[in-house]
Amino acid sequence: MVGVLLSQLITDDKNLPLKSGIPSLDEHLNGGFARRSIYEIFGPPGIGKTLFGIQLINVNFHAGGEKVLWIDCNKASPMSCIDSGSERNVSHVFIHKISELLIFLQNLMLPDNEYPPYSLIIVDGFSQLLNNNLNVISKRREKYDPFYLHTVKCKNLVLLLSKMTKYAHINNSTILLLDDSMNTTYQQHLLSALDNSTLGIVADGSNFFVSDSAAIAQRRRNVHTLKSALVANAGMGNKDSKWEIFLKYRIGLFWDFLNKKSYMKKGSNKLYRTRVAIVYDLHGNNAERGKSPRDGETNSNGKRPRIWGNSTPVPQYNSEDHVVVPFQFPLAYGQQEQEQEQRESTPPDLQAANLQQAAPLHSPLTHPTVLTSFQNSVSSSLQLSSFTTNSSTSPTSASPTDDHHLFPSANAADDVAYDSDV
Amino acid sequence: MDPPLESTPLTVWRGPTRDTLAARISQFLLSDTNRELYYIDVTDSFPLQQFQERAPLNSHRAVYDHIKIIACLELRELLQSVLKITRASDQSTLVMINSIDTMFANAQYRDSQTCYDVLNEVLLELRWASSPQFTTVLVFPRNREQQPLKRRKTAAESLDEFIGNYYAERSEQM
Repeated sequence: MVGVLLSQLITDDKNLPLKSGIPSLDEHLNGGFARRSIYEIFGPPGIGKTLFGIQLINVNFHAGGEKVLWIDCNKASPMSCIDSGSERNVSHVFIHKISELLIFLQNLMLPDNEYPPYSLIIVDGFSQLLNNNLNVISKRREKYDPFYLHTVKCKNLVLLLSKMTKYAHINNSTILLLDDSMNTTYQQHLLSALDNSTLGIVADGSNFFVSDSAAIAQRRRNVHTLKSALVANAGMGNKDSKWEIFLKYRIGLFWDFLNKKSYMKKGSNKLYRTRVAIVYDLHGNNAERGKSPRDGETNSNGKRPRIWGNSTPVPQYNSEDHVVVPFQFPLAYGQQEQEQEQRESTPPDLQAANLQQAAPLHSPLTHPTVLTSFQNSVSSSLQLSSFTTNSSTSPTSASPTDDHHLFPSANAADDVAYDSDV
Repeated sequence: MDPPLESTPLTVWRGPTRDTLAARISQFLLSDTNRELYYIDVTDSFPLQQFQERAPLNSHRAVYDHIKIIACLELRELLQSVLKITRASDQSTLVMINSIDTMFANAQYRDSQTCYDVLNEVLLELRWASSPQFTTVLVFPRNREQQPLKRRKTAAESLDEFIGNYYAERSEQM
């Protein structure tokens, strides 16, 4: 028989999607991370990309005989965070060159290879592998040629992702690429080609912020854009769709900040934070699912919709090509006991006060590529840089417990709000 | 009202959403029980969720048995699959090929000299097999920049335009 029956694909237990452990995210991924597919997850250091991968293993591979392959490309991941039940199903390998990865993938697909079929492959630091390769190529050439580098990048990625797709189809696997994110604003001449024309660089000498004319129309300030390091690197160009076709979804993990005055203590300038996952639909399939409130949608009062409380379905703010899903990790593995001790040592009245602090999130996102807008750009940027420096030492060092004091709800998405006054 | 698929041997669809694809597929399959669909793509992109909304699995289980999913990463694999389908089909068949441009690009990476011949062979095989019982649809996803073919220096045309001009009876912008 030619092909696989669809009925077989959707009823076989081995074809069930992998749960991320974040229900609202799974909902937007149509049930979870689908088999026979490749996903990219990117974000700044310390946001929890590795933790996300570990959580995926702990949730899905605790029991059963399915195997996982973890490929480290940049640094050693904390394999000790994997549950003891799941650990025996995980194989771990280090790969430091793009050619090594290609040969390794080819070996995995040899008919009589020594490896078991892996149901999940996580490539941690995949973008680092690619960027190292681009840097080597760039140094070999006398003159910096972004067009050449872009062509090489696309060819390499098409080759690698083709192999991965083939493996995923043969072994019914899910492949997860954990990538860094990168600021693109230093390459001014490429910005207009990559994005819509509403973005422009703020000429403040630092080239760190981007002004969004669409956002300015809504009285928003300058923004800082981060993209996947597979897109934003030495080989930037406009032919990324050649390899993006192999990705089912791209998910950006970012920080979001609470800085609304009414939720702040008097005299305090602390920004509360939470994580958001931005699910990018690379193939435009969400186009008819919803219209962004920022595209001019108003309620009966002529204001953009304000959504509060648990009765509101997710997504709260989405656009044609992306959906934003606020989330928080369950307590970081190994930190449960510490949290329990803290809870026991906290007086009950203070615990109640912490619960009352739970407040709806304010969404600062104005554009699919925007990480954060800053109401007060100087002070906020200081907050961001100090925070990311502290949290970048280890993927697990970011303390999810901070979020728990703010959001007692298991599903943080329930507390999201639109703010028409910003 | 959309014309029935079986009235044209080879059709090009540009930029359909998942909803549109699912609607057309369900329209084709639900109108007759003796119909089958071969869905060929480089990735696992069948619009399952949207299709299930139109044809729930519980009540239309037989329909799901008539949908076959095939993954082809490049044109030679596509040619092999097409040859098998054309020889095996014994009922009303719709072959839906998604992202043939990516298969073409992958074939170009491997061998830029022969990829046009393989493309020609695939499309001629599909046209050769076409009949009221055998129809082909080539789907070009939206939001993807179609690269001009390098072979034609005078009038640069993308792959979807090339196929639309020389092989397909009808092209639809969706």
